[in-house]
Parts: sequence; C-alpha cells; structure tokens
Amino acid sequence: MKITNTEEVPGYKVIEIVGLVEGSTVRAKHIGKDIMAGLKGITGGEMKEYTELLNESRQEAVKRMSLRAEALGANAILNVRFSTSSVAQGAAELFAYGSAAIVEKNS
Amino acid sequence: MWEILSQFLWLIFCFVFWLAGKIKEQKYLKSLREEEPEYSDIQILSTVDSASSSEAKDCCLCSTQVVLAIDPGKQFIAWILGMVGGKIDVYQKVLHMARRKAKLNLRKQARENNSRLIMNYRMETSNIFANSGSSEGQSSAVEVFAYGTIVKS
Repeated sequence: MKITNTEEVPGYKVIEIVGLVEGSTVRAKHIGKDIMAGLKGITGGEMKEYTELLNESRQEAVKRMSLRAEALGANAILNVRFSTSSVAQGAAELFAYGSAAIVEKNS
Repeated sequence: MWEILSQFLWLIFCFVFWLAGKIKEQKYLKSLREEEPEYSDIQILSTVDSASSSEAKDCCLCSTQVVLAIDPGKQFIAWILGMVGGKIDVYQKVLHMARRKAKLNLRKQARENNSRLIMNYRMETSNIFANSGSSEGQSSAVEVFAYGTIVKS
C-alpha cells in the first residue's frame, strides 16, 4: 500500500481514483502513565509517554484507513490529511483521510 | 501571615522548576545543535516538486510527533508577561524547539530510506493538558505533528 500526502504518487502513475477512505481512533492514556508524564513534565522537556501514545494511535488510524482502501480494491492512498481533536478530558480522536486510488509503477 | 508565606513558597517552587527546566532545555538544544548538521543535506519542501517527482522511483509517507512540556516556571513568567502584553518569549522558544526536533526526526526517517528530499511538508500544532498532581492541578504541553512524503530517486 502506497500512502502519500501529495496529489500524485512519485514514481507511479494514477490509473483510477476509487473513492474517499478514512480511519479514526479514540485513545486515552493509562492513568498511571498519565500521572507519571505529568510529574516528569513539571520540569519541562519532551514527554516520551505522549509522543509514543500519539504515534501508536496515528499508526492505528492509518492502518484502518488502508484496510478500507484494500476493501475497495485500491493499492494507494493519495492526499492523506490528519486531524486531531479532543473529545473528552484525557481522550483524543486521531483521524486520517485520503483518496484511495489504483496506481501502476512507471516503466 | 500564613497566606503570604504560602504564596512565597509557591514562588520558590516555581523558581526551582524554572531552573530545572532551563537546564533541561539547554541540554535539549545542545543535542539538537549537534545532530542537525549531520542531516542538513536533506531538503524539506512544503510544495510538490514536479521535476523530482517525475524522476522518482518510489515514495512513502513519513510522520513524526514531538510533545514538549511547559514547566510551571515558564507558565508563571508567561502569566506575568501576558498581563502587560507584548511577545511571550518563553513559549516561543518551546514551540521553536519542538518544530526543530520534528524536522530533525523527519530528516532521520528520510536518511533511513536513502532519500534526500521530503515533499509536501505539513505541520500541525496543538495543545495538550495533562492532569497531574502538581500544585496547579494542570500542566501544559504542546504537540507538534509533522508529516510529508519521502521521495526516493
């Protein structure tokens, strides 16, 4: 599965646009880790716990999106966009969307 | 009497956290300064370079996120500065640092993929509030999320 955030896939030729695909995930952090992160954050610096959480969640959203694209018979997703919103205290929704397409390698 | 004393105690705490934060920040900046020149040959574009994309063989999406906490000392300084208005340098520095780190992370991913170009670079900044047991009840953090397309030629 080729995933890009450009309108074309470099090195590939777009044959057909199949449709819009999206994937989302809502995640909250384990309370123990949340408190630990808060305590570490008191002196500033990078919060590894949150970086890790957000990374995992975005991977999950992208995975769900590509599963949908596969179901449509596509082998690439173009123009991927990400958006983040907090739906509740301590929980965030990570959302990814793009256009599923069928591409072919340039000869 | 006790009211005033406790206020001062809070100020001292703020100062200690500010100092610890400052030391941490300097360390972070130092590591950034050391690593950045190694990856300076990798170009980041916010547009699509059609010339290099037509020559390209392959591509993939890269993304990174950096979460930086803002210590209570900085929040206190920002609060003071916010009352008189003007630019708030302490927050500016944190955001700048997070963006530098995000760019460095993307360049590292490009290097792993043997690429020298990242196209269509996009960046998002958001605020995170973490509930913690601190004296203020809330500590603040910023998240920088950056993504782009790695072009392999």
